[in-house]
Amino acid sequence: MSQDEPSGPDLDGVVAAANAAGLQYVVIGGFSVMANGFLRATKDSDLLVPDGKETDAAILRFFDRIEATRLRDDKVLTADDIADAHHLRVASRHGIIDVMRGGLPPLDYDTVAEDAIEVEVGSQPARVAGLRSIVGFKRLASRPQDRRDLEELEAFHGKLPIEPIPGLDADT
Amino acid sequence: MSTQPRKTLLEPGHEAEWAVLNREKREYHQRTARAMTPSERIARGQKLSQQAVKLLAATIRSGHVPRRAFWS
Repeated sequence: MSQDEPSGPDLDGVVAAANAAGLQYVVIGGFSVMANGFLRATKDSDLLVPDGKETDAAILRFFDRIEATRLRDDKVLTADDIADAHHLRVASRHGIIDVMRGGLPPLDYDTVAEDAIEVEVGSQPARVAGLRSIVGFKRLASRPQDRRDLEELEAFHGKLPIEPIPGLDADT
Repeated sequence: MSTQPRKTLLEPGHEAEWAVLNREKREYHQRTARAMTPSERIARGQKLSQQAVKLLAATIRSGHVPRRAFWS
């Protein structure tokens, strides 16, 4: 797919293709913020995925279904590209997608998946990050948009659940 | 003929009025979001995002902003 023209994120299509490819994932990023109460625009879809060969194979099937190419050079990714990557950013027929591996607990895949909420996205089931995980991701990234998301989520929910993040909080 | 001074909020010194307007807007959006399920919020956000990206793409295409604006 050509990357000359950015297209908006089509999460319905992303979820349908990921489910069909048998990919385990949790929707994180802007769409998870929306699901948790702060409606705003986002430029891409973000998926957190587990480590492992099964996941790598599912990512390859997923990318094939959505005609994904790496955003920076339009390369069709191979199994080797995927196996080595902790982060993949692709352009696809469902918009730009960031695929990320989990971090250290509590931002590892299992913890985030356990905290996730089950929702329907375009009539397909999907797991979307829960508030606790979102707060962790946002505190870690701490870009202006992340700080704004935290402020709006706090206005919506009241005091936010904060878990210590390794490397970020002094006593961890 | 005397002219009345024009009333505007678009000048310094109206922070209190802006705070009221901003709070009103935030409360409206919170009420709207509260009335929706997470799935409905995602659907609404998806439409909003697609419109926003379409608008940005048009602005990039017409040369008014550089392509890197997409990632700013």
